[in-house]
Amino acid sequence: MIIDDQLLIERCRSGHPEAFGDLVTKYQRRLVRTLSSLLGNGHDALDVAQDAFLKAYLNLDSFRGDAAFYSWLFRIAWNGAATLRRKQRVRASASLDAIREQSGIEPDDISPTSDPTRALQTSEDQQLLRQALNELGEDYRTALILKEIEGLSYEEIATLTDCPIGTVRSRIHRARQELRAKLDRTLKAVER
Amino acid sequence: MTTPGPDERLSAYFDGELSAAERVELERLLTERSDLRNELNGLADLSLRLNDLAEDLPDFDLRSRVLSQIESTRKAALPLASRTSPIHRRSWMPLFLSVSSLVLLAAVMWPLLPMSDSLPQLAQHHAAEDKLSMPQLGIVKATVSAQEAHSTSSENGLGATSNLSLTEGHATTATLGAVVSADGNGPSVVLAQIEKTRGLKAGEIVSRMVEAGDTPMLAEYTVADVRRSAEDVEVLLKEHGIQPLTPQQTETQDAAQSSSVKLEAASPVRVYLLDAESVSLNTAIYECKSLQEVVATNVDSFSIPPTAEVSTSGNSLSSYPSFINPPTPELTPDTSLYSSPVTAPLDPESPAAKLQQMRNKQEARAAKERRKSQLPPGSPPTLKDEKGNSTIAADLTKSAPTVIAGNSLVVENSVEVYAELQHLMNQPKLASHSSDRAQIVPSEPNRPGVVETRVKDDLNAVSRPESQKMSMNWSNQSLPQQQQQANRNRQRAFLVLRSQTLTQPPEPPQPVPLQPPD
Repeated sequence: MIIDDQLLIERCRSGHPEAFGDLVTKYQRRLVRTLSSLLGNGHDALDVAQDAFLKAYLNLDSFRGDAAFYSWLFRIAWNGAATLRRKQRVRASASLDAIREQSGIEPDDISPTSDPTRALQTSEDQQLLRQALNELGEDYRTALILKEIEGLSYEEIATLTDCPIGTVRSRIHRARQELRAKLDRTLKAVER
Repeated sequence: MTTPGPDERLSAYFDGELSAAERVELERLLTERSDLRNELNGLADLSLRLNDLAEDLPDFDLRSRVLSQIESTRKAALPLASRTSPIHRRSWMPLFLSVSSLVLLAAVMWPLLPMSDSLPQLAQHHAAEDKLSMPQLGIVKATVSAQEAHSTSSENGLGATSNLSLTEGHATTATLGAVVSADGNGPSVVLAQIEKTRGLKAGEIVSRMVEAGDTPMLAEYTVADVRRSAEDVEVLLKEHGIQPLTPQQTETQDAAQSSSVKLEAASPVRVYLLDAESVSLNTAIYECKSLQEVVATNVDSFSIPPTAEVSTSGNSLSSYPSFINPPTPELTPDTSLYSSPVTAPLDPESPAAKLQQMRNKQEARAAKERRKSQLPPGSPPTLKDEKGNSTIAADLTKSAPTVIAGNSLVVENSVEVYAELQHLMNQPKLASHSSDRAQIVPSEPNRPGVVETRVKDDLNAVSRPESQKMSMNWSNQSLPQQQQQANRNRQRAFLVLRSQTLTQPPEPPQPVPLQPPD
């Protein structure tokens, strides 16, 4: 698989951008799936993934082939997702502050997953899971997604998130515990 | 660092991140504790649900979006000219070629067009010629197609006007205007016959010395088309109306008398400066019937040393019986053909050095003046004196106390010829030498200063000494290599034409090969 990637990369470097299209086709779903879980928004995931592919193409000469192409690509996407989350936090903070200043009322959750129309489009179970996942702390959610969805090793997650392996291990464990607890509480509430 | 509890190790076990020892220990616990087994099942269930959630994605295709974005980025990065599609470039190509062709055609045809102001210039030129009563020497250098040439000559009944110049790009050489009506008897016939005898290739540069009556002309032209080259020549070279000279005057002239000979009278000897590529010069000399003698020098050796040991007993170059057979171009393709280095280096205080300085200044002033005034063809010969004052050649020649053979004539702008030959004839050894043969003394190798004389009739009589062949490496060490190479291929020659030959009935033109015979 890596050899195939390398051949496609060489073709790209020799002036055949359509070869990069093959790489996009190959990795787009995996990347978007992870990004969607990380960002909690499919549209943002697509935008970040598209930017990541473009940046990868433009910087293809800097890819030395020491690691797998997807790892390199995911790192680019990861950085893009991190940038987007920072921007979202700033915007959300500004919006919340504006609402508080104007009305003195704590605003409702405005995350995409709380959109009722969106909830109708997905199964109830998945909606509950998504909501519980989004309620996790960012570090926990990220570590869990990188492990469960992206399939990275603890070491890779530690490198990507710039933290010790023990911390990764702990975060993943805690993320699972919290998520299961949330789901249990939600299911019990629904059952009542 | 605290040891993680069983749950955390169970999570790591589920992820396959435990060490071997930890895995063995945890598997032992799993066999012992049912709660751990239930917890492990819960982790597996959660993992399945998370992956199912991740797979719940709408259909999308980033491939087309990414490739489109890549294409946009590439276009933005390219310069505007590079973004022009091949189709657009092809659509502009015919127009571009058409415009280029028109410009090129105009550039080629411009000198050939019968412009209204060409005739007055021509008349002025002939008036000057008649006044000076001298033959003119010119080089035609042009490229024209046969179709253009034919239309010009047939529609106007006149030969195309052209600026004839000696070796374009060399300001120190003569610039003459020449073109007369096409009567079919001029040198064009000669050239046509010559060209029919040998195979020419398109683009080849051909040089020929032709004679129209008593007018020697060096025709240098580019073969536009092999089949039509004769027609090209027919348009470009036209007969000159030059008055022949009388042989008696040549026989009776001496140095003392020559200084007083007026230009209006027929001159027995005429000296012309030719600055041409060596092979062309060689060919020209061979083909010029009226040419008797040649004093040749390489381009950068005009500073003839005062001790130049070119000896003669006579007072004119016509008495030089110096017979140096020029080597064939095959033997010395890149060297000047009629020269041998002579003697001592220049003394900065010597007359020759001062003369050289004067000439350099004059050349610079003359070139500047020519650029400013753009003298029309046929204008009176213009020279500059030491103070930079302009004068015509006739006045300067008449006022000069000593002129070569007393009857030399310096053609337009050829101040070098005048000065050099004057200096040459004033050499003490030249005047005092008793021998009838000019002594060509090989000089030190790589010594600047080259002069050589020869008589046309005896060109083939004497083989060139091997030592002189070896000494033909010009001393151009002070010049850039490229200029040295260019100069090696060029040569200046003072062509001495005798009136005795000029008065003879013109011989029918004979085809002459480009290269001189051995």
